[in-house]
Amino acid sequence: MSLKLHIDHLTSPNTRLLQGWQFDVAAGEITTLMGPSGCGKSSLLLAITGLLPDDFSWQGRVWLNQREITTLPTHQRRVGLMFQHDALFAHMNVHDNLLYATPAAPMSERKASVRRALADVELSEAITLFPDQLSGGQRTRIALMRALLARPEALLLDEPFSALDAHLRERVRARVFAMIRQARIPALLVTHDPQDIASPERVLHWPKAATDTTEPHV
Amino acid sequence: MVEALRGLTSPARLTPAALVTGLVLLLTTGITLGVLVGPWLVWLDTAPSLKHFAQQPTLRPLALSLWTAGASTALAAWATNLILARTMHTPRHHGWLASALGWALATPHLAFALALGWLIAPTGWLWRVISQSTDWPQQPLDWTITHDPFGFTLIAVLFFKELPFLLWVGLAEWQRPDQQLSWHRQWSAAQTWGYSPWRAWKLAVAPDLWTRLRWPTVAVWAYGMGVVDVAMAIGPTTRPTAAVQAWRWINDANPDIQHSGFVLSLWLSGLVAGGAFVMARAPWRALSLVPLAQAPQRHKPVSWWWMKAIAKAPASVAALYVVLLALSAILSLSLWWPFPQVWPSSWSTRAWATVAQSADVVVTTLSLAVLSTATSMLMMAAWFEAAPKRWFSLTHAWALAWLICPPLMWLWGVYQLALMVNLQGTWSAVFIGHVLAVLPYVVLTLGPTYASFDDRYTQAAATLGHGYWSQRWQVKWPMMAGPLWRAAAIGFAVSVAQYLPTQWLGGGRIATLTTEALSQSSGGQRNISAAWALAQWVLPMLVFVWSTRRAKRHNPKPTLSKQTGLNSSV
Repeated sequence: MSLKLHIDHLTSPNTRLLQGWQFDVAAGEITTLMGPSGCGKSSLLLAITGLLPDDFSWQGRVWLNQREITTLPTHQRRVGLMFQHDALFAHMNVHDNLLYATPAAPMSERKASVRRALADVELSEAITLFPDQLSGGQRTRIALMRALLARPEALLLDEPFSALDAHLRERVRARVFAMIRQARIPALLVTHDPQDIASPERVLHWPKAATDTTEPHV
Repeated sequence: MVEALRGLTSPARLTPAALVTGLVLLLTTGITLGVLVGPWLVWLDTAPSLKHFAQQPTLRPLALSLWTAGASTALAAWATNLILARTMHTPRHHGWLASALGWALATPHLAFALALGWLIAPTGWLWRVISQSTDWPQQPLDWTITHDPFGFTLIAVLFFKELPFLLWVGLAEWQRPDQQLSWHRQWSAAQTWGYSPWRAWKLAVAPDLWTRLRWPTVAVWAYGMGVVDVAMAIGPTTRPTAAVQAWRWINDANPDIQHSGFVLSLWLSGLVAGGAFVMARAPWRALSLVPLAQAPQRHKPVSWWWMKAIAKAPASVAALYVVLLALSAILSLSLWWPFPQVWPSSWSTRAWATVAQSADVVVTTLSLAVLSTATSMLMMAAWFEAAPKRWFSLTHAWALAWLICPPLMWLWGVYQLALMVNLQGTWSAVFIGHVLAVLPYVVLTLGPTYASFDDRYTQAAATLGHGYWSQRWQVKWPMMAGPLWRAAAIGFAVSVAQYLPTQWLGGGRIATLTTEALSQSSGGQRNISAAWALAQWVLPMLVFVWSTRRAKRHNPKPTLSKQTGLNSSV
């Protein structure tokens, strides 16, 4: 499994954010994409998932496992996205949040997979709780588990640890990375915190200038 | 439609979505322009005589309208400012206040006006209690209290009915966490500079509050200027307000007199627009009786007694609503209740039997309210789902402009359009009138919710593999259940309370609880009138309770106090 990107350009309402850039992410690999705030990292993730706002424009192509997904609707792309804000549904408890992500199958199987997932992240006792009853670390783990339960073929992470306290951050990060590697899917992590780097050998730096067309530092 | 809306999740399908957006926009704009331009076309076409209008004394009705609407609006805005200032110290009261306001908003103006009349009329319950407990003469007062020539009772009704609306708007702003934090910081900062709490409020919060209350206050003003049913029920009768006078003329068989009604409603619209302009330009100081605190005055002690009294207004107003509801219920079950007895001598369900015999009226009211609310909700939900968020403020402005336009004015246009397509006097024409009356309230209730909805929730649902409708049915709409059901309850209440659209477009042939309550109020049988008024009151209240429960069912979150102490190490 791999995620391959070929970007011609990515433009915000006022600025050209990116031009002529390509890279790929292999299965089980967590590639860290670094850049200053506001450079367009999150917009790139939205472009990959097909969620880019109307006032942005982008030209490029996305392949997932040699299958081009550029023109597919978001829900058919099989690309998971974890937001900076965990986006857990406030009206659903933990069980229902996770159940919503499970693919179509007999209900008993779906419920069993939810229970297994919660046991994996040591949060079985949180099954009936609502998002606002969870700590920041718990919410991040549940959000990641929800993204993985949908069985995505690639996972994008948009600064998922930025809301956590420093002492929590390291522990949650280690656990999340372990879960992604276990799932054996390509993952692209966007961050501006060097401590978030998952694999030091695989770091992409955002081109410095909007018109910078040089190859990324790998 | 389904495909069109789905198209929003995919740029490739944006064209059908744009088509739906365009259609909704065209429909609402068409109706708006139609009802505003229609009367002028008819006017130019028929070129009626202005002789009748020129002979009529129209200055007094217009002055009376200005006085009643102006005084009630100023009082309501001023009291809202004071109550919000006072409750800033005690945010724990806001939950209670918010739920009480919902009940008050669901109360039809007419039912409230009739019940207030039964309380304070010369033979009303208040004077009965005073007469029995004091040495007051054991005979009815010889005062004109309801239908008083200066409209004091009308002002009281409008004040008590509009205060909850303005408080509701103000509280909605206050309950936004970001707004609350910002106001509280500014208010606290001003106090650290030496200002008293009240002066700090005036200096730091009131100006910003007024910018948010300005247009709802204009809507209150426009309602007071254009109201007909309440003014007929409790306002001056021999020399009525301009809206009532215009309505009487419009109902005349003589075309010249009918056109006098149109000209008077034009004058009314002009005054509403003038008042709206003044309020739009008015500084926030207009809300306050005390001049703005200047630096040298900052340590000047402020008398709080009168402010404390005003701050208790929500409880007093809530108590008044309860008393009026109970009084209507007792009156509807009374058979013989001579003055000065505090309680009826004999009881009967005869009045309710009369209502039950007219079950078709209840069915008509229900069908109009349910269908007009559902239509408005569907139209506006389709609009808010399809339109870009940057257009929402435009929709908000449209709704406010609609509320500011006096019903006499736009109904004239709708009536002319109904005549053209031969729909006048039918249920369908009344239905269209109700939809137009309900639409702006649905926009004002739903708009802010749609504007503030965080799209990342539906985006997250999409990345989990769910399509457009699953995102809406399982994520977005359940998360918005509270505002959606609240909009439905308000829309229902607005439709039930409609008098002019029902009477005018229905040609007097379509009877609802409101038209019956008003027609019975001029009869001699108070118990029957009370039964109709109570039915008009209870129906929206039942819907309000039901919708609140539905909203809670969609959001079964336990309160923070019920949270369990789960290990939250990671």
